[in-house]
Order: sequence, then structure tokens, then C-alpha cells
Amino acid sequence: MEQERGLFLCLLSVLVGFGVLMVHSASITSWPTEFEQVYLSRHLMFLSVAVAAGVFSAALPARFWYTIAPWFFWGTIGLLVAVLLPGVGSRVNGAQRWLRHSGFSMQPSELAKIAVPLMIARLMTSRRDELGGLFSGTLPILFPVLVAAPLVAIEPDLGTAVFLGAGAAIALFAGGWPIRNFVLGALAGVPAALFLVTIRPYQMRRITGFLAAWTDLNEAPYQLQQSLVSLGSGGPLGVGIGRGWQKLSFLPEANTDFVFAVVGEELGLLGTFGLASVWIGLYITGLRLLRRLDETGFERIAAFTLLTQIALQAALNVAVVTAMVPPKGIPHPLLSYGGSNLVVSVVSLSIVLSLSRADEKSSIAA
Amino acid sequence: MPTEPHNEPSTLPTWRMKVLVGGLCLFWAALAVRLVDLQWVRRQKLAERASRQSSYLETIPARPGEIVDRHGRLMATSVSVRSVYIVPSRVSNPWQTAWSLADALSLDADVLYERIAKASDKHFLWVKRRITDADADRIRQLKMPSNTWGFREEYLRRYPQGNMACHVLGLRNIDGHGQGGLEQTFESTLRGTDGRRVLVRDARGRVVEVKDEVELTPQHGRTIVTSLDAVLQVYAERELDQLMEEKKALGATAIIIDPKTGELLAVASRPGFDPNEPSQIPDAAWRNLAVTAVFEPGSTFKPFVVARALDKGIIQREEKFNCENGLYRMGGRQLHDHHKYGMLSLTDVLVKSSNIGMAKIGEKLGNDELFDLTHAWGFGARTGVELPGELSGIVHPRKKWTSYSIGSVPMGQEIAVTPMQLIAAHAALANGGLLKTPRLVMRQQEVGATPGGFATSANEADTHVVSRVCSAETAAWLVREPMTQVVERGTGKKAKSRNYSFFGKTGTAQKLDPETGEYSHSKYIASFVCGAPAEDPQALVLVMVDEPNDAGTGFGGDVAAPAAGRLLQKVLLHLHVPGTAVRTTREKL
Repeated sequence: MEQERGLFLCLLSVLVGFGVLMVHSASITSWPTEFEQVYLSRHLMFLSVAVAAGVFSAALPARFWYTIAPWFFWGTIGLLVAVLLPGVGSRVNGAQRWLRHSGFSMQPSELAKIAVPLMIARLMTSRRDELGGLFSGTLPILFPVLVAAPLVAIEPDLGTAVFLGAGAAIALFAGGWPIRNFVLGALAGVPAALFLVTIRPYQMRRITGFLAAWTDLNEAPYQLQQSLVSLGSGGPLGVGIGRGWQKLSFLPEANTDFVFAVVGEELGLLGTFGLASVWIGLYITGLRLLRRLDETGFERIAAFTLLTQIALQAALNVAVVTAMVPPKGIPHPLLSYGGSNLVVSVVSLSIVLSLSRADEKSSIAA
Repeated sequence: MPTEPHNEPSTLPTWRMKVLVGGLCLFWAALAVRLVDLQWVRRQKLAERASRQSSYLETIPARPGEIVDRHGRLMATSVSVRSVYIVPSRVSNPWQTAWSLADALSLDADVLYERIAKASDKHFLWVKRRITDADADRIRQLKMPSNTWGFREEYLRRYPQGNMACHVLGLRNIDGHGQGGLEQTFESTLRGTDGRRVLVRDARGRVVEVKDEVELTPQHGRTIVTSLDAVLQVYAERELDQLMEEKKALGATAIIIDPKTGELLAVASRPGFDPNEPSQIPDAAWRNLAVTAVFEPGSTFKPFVVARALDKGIIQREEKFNCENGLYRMGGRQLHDHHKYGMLSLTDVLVKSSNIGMAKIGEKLGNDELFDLTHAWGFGARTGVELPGELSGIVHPRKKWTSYSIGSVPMGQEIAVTPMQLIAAHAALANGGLLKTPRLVMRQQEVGATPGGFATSANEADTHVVSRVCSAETAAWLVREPMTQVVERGTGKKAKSRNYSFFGKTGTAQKLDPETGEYSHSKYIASFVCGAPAEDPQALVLVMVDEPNDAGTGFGGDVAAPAAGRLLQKVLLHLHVPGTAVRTTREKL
């Protein structure tokens, strides 16, 4: 057990350390200025915050998360509302996602990635008897995501909203929510999603541009073209770390959402496979940490959801970068530059560690 | 804390988690396949795309070759200068940019602004080509943003001798295309082949790296060594300038040829131009009269007819011709001589340029022979000299020749020739009967080739012997007897030299009046061909004057002969041809 926990921490550290390296490499442009050094130092600063928060979270007893879940959730909702208020939230590129105060800024929607799964996991266990009910098993269980996702969507940050939905779905499915509800949800949700996509021309363009990446690369959106070109020019072994050309100017968002393409160019197939292996290793090690927990208990559901969520986010990011799914602003957890994402990812995995320490006894007995 | 653990089958969520884990692992597996596809299967195509978008082939211009005279004197060369361009798409304030650039380069700011505004989405616009160093300094001081402008090295064509041999040289226009002269004929030789090198640029087009290895080394243009002698060219042009000034002529041309090789030592035409100032060339000045003037040769044609008649045995050197006291009826046509002659020897028919005497020879030859000899001596076809725009003159098809032709052609009418054809034919007479293609280019050589051999007279380019046009004996006799006496005592005596035995033939052609279609009585083309020494001709000079307008006559002997004689005298001195004492013996005759 302790060995697995050590391995988990080890893999986590590999990813975080690799992230530091790649953020630094990917931030360099063709005409380097002192400004680019800022990315490394800021990332290191975020990392220290993340490590502090992570150590603190991991040290907390598992039951703490059950207790804190409602407070945490409503607190996050409060911040999500605050970010939408004029004068409180900051507008960047037409989206109101940031809370800024005295040089410190954060995205409440990132917090929701932890708060919503914890809340749903708590509801899944506290209301387990009512899960089968037509009403009692639906709205009271679903309300965390039904409140949080729309608030995030109107920022607008559709990507994160969809991601919150996905996290909630993982928690519900893993926690034993009736299959019937999923079928009904799909019947109602899929047409609604299609409708939402078609009434927004820019969403439609994203889809067609994404399809073009598979047919005629020249017709694909610039960013996807450059991303695929970066990956391809890396070849099997890559051009060497720090030696990538694409990141210098051709590849946009090289150090954030598209950092994986830089990995592909500089370290090649070896690097991308290595990174994927570390992610799968982390995921499997995490799952092994949870195997002794009660399948229906809060700890198991919450930890499984947080862990799967992170692994899914990493996979989705790679899928966007390789044009497997339509482009969506999804950062690569632990690797992309960006404070909120880094802190939330580290804290999520720390909570998994904390929850994994709940022995069967306490989980069952309490 | 959770309520009591549920007794419901706890296996249900377990398979559910397995499904999710399995699904996620499948997702990762699919991504792995995709990565193999991109980074292994398609890596070449994508990598090519990457290098295509970042690398850029820059042209390394080839230096255009030089044109030199037979002794290596520079007549056309190229110097490296800067040209300034801007990137209109990055110019934020076109008016300000136009204004300051126009100020620095003394351009019209409004015009420049128009050009910038029109090209506002383009990435390249020449502001001014081939600027001076002072201009370049002024532009640097403007301190414009470095990504909006730049200098580019270009070659500027310079003609160090000014307007000398301008028609032979032609010029290279601002885009490096040859216009006229050797620049046009040998455009590709002179141009060379541009080289290329690879630059690596970032997405904004800024150069981040210059690859060391040059993709393609430029092949610089080859040097054209002409047969011209710059000194003789200057002599010829001065003579023409003087003629133009004195005679108020429309145009004039002078050609100096080495009859033995066909090498042209000078080819001059007036009006001329300065190829260094292409924008100031009047249309009329572009014409190289040496190859584009088409005129009736008149008496200069007569020796060729006589040569054929002699070679055919139709007439004899000693034969006398009745010149009918200046009036001869040929069918319904009346022929006149300028002076009335009775019986004239063959020599005198040429010396006195009797049209009636020539008409009688024409009658003996007949149209078929006349037609044949006209072509045989190279008329009616381009000589093949290396100059663009050469005309072939006019020789009507045989079936258009009439009984008139028998009288007209022997006196050099009904046909029209170019000065180049005329001197080439006379060169054949002077060299013993071999018609050779006149040549301007002796050889082409690589840049940096040793100039040794510049002075050699051997023509590396093969001298085409087009044909033997008359027997050596006939040619020698015509040159030494009748044509020498033309200068001694005939129509060309104004060309006479004290220390060389000149030979020559005058020509006066009335121009056709464009309004009436008949021969004009006031507009002439005067020509004179002369060479020396008669015993062994070293050089031949032709001078042709178009519409001399002075008060005197337009006769070749009066207008062209003095100039041609003076020129020939200088040519012989320059070529160190020894003067002869032969003249004294000849004077006794």
C-alpha cells in the first residue's frame, strides 16, 4: 500500500517536473526577450502554491472531504456568481472567467472541477436509498451540476461546463445511478446539444474545421494545422528538447493548451508515448490505491471520479491536439502553463491520496 | 459521513467502474494509434510542410556579364547597388511613411502614397531602385520599424563610355532585360543564372537563420568580347557627329570592317543615346541605321554587276561602252547620265558612274543573272550579324522583275539594301571574292578568365564563309583598277589620301517621296564605301548619310566621301598599316 502510494507520488512528480521543463521550452519564441523568462518563474510560483495546497490536502483525513463537500460546493457557487458580477470578475477576450484581487487571480470554474464531484459523491452515498426514485433519485442528486455547469457556461466557458457534466456523469455512473436515467438523459441531452451547436455559427465552424483536418489539412484551422505539423515533424525521436521550431512562432498557445504538440516535436513519438505511459501508470496506480475502499462509499466514488477526471482531461487534451475531437480549450493537466489548472490538478490528486487513506473500517463503520 | 453501508449488491458499481476504466484505456489506445499515424506514418509529409512554411528560398542574383572591346576595354559592366523596398502590409501610417521616404529620396510624396495605398495588402513594394549611398544613409536615419522596409542588393548596369557604341550595346532595363544590341542578342549569356540560398523564417516572416550551405551557386554572366575597337568606334562616332552637325542630316551610320575576317571594328549610328539614361532616349534614337536603314544602294552596287559580267565572260576588262552622249532609250524608257559621255572603257563606266554604261551591261546579263547575282552577294537576306532587328532589305521576287529591271538594277535601283549588307558585299570584293558574315562577337568567356588573348586577331567564333561570289582575279582587278581610280579621279576623289592607296565607290540614292510615290529630287541618301590599301585591303569603311540637308548636293561623293576618307585614314594609322610609295608609280599612269 505504502509502496503504491510512493509510486503514485513519484509519477505525479515526474509529470509536474516534466511540466516545468516543457513550459519553459514551449515559452521560447523566435525573438527571445526577457519577458519569456517570466513564464518559468510564474509557473514555479504556481507550483509552490500547488505543492503547498497539495501537501495540506493530502494530509487531511478522508472524512474531512465528506464534511466539507457542501461548504466547498456552495462556496464555489458563490465565487461563480461573483465572477459574473460586473466589477468583480475580470473580462478577458470577451469571457468573464477570472477573479482578480491585489495581483492574485483565479478561475472559480476550476474549483468547480473538485467541488461538483465531491458534492455528487456525497449525495450518492447519503441518498443511496433514494437513487431509484423517479424524482428523489434525480434532481436532488443532479443539482450540483445543474447549478454549477450553467453558471460556467454563461461566462462563457463551454469547455469547462461540458467537462463538469462529464465529471458528474462519471460520479453518477460509478456510484450506481440507474442506467435508465442515463438513457433518458441521453435522449434529452443529445438533441439539445446538437441544437445548441447548430444555432451558434462559430461552434459549427469549429466542427467543420475539425473535419477538414482529416480530409484536407490546408482547409483546417491554422492552429490544428500547426499542431499536426509540429507532431509530425518530431518523428519517432523528436528534434531534441528546446530545439523545436514550431513553438517559436508558428504554433499558437504552445505553452498552454498545445504544449503536447511541443512535446511531440521535441521528443518525438518516444516522448508522447512516454508521457501517455506515465498518465496511464498514474491512473492505474491511483485505482489500485482505491481498490480496498468500499465501492459504494463516498471515498471510493469521489476519488475514482477525481482520478478519472484528470486522466480524461489529459486524454481529451491529447485528442484535441491530434485533431481527434473538435478543438476545445482544454489545458493538459500538470503540463500546461496556468496557475488555476496546475493547483486544481495537484489538489485533485492530493485529495485522491487523502481519500485513499480512509481504511475500510472507517468507511464502513462511520 | 455515509449512512449504513448498503446491503444492495455492491458488485454493480464495480463493473461500472471497470467499464469506465476500460473506456478510458481504449481512448488512450486510440490516441496512441493516432500518434503513431502522425509521428511515424505521416511524419515525412508533415515535416516537409514544417520546413516549407519556415524556409524561404532567397535568390542570389547572378552578376551580369561584361561587354568589352577586342582589347578588353570595358563597354558595359555591372556594379552592385542598393534598392529600397517597403512592406506595405506592415506600414501603419502610409502617409507619414510616404512623406518621409519621398523627402529622403526626392520623390513625389503623393505618387508614393498612391502606390503604397494601392499595395496596402502586399508584402513587397520597391520604393526606389538603385539608390545612392547618400540616399541609403538618409533612409537609415528615418529609423522606420525594421520589419517594414529593407535594402536589397541589385546590379546596376553601367556603360562607362557613355553613348559610345550605344546601338551595338543596347541596354539592360531596370528589370535586367536586354533591350536592343548585344544586350538583347546575348541576354541569356550575359544574364547568367541566379543562385539560391535557404533562409529560415518565423511565422511573421522575420529571418531567424541563414543556412550556411548555398543551395545553388549563382552562375555569373559571361563576358562578351566584341570585335569592336573602342578607339576606332570613337573615331567613327566623332565623324558622324560632325556630319550630322554640318549636313543637318536625319541620320547617319558608319561601319568599319576587317574584310579578311568579317570582324566589325566599329558600328556607329546617329542619332545616338546614352544607355545610362534609358528614360531620356527619343524613339528615333533607338534605330541602329547600320542594320535597319533600307535604301537603294545606287552606284555602290555597280561593281557587283560588273564582277558577275566579267566572271561570266560576257564583257571584257578592256571593252568599251558607248554611253550615247547621256541619253539612252531602252524600250519606252529614257536613261540619263549626269554628264554626257561618248565611248567609255569599263573602268571609266565605274569611275564616272555611268548609268547608261551599266544599263548596257545589264542588257547583256539579263534579268536572270541580275537576280541571281543580287542574291549571291547577300542582298535580300539578313547578313546574320549579332544585332537584333536586322532587316533584310528589299529584293522583289523574280516574277515581279520587268524589262525596267534590266536597266534599273545594274545602277542600284529597284532593290534596297542595308548598310551592313553593303559593306559585307564590298568586304567580299576586297578579300578576293569571299562573302563572309559580318561578326561582332569574337568570343564569350567566363568571369575571371585571364584577359590574355584579348589582342589576338584570330576570331575564335568560326568565320562563316557564306560563298565565293566572284573570282579572286576579278575582285582584285575591280579593287585595284576601277575602284581605286574612283578615288583617284572619279566621284570619290574627295576621299583621297596622300599616303594610302584608297579604293571606293560612291552611292547616291534618291529617296521615294512618300506623298507622290516617285523619286524625290531633294531627298537623298548619300553613301560611300572605301578601303585601303588597294594591294592588300586591311580595312573597309562605309559612311551613309540619310537626307543631308545642306545647301550643296546630296551626292555620295560630296557628302559621305570626305568623312569616310578621313575615317579610313585614321583607321589605317591606328592599325599601323604602313603607308605606301606605290602612289608615285600609280600617279605616273
